Amino acid sequence: MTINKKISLALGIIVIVVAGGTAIIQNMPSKQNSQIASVTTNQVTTNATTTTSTVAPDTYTLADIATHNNSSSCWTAINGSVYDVTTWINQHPGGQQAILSLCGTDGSAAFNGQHGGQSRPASELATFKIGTLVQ
Amino acid sequence: MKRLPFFAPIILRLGFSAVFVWFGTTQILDPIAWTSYMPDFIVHITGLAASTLVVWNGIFEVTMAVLLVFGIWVRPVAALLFLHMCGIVASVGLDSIGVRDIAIATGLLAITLYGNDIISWHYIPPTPPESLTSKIITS
Repeated sequence: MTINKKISLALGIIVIVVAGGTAIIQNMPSKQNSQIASVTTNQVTTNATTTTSTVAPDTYTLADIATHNNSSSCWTAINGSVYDVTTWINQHPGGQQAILSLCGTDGSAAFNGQHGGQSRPASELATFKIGTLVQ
Repeated sequence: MKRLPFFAPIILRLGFSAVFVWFGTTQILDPIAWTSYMPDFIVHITGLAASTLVVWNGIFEVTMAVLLVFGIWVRPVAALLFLHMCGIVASVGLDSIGVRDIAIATGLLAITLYGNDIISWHYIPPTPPESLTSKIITS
């Protein structure tokens, strides 16, 4: 084996280990994520319970959504529906920042601008729906 | 400084290999997160679940990346990945992700045109011109 092939082999293995290892580590289900999911579920339950006395179940105002404006609890309103996209932050193919920028806001314009007319993102988004937006 | 240009195609090849190793591995490990990017017509044509297609896409990307990182069949592999990226750009459209993919496709086209670099597995050192060879032999 020539020296060039040895260098090629060594560099290739390094690239595969670093890039593949990073991907594996990033996709490992962490304890923190499961805790966040648990907290979010509890918050959804609590909010649904407290709001039933005043408004219809599973309806939220922009003020409600604004309280879920971080990576621990990320809600957004898109086209009149409310979504809890906390677990999607780390999974979004376009990067975390795109989702984090929507937390606690009406993300209709951003979503429609990026994915308007695409059926797959819309069906993916539908899985995160927790209610509807009221004024 | 004169030797620096020799590293350019190597860095380009290794860098793009790393990109495809990462994306391919991520798709294999978490296909559900990528199903939204699988075009509907491919799902309809194949009749397979979108997540299954994502896994196969990930296996394809990792395989191509491994060949590229070791410099095996550099031109055909880079050309295949270039066409693959063109398909993704056509599917995604010209949003921020699509524009980024154009940059990746352009880089792959550069690798395709360059071919083997000096540490590629299939690199063949250039033979000296015949006149020079005969001079060396006669001397």
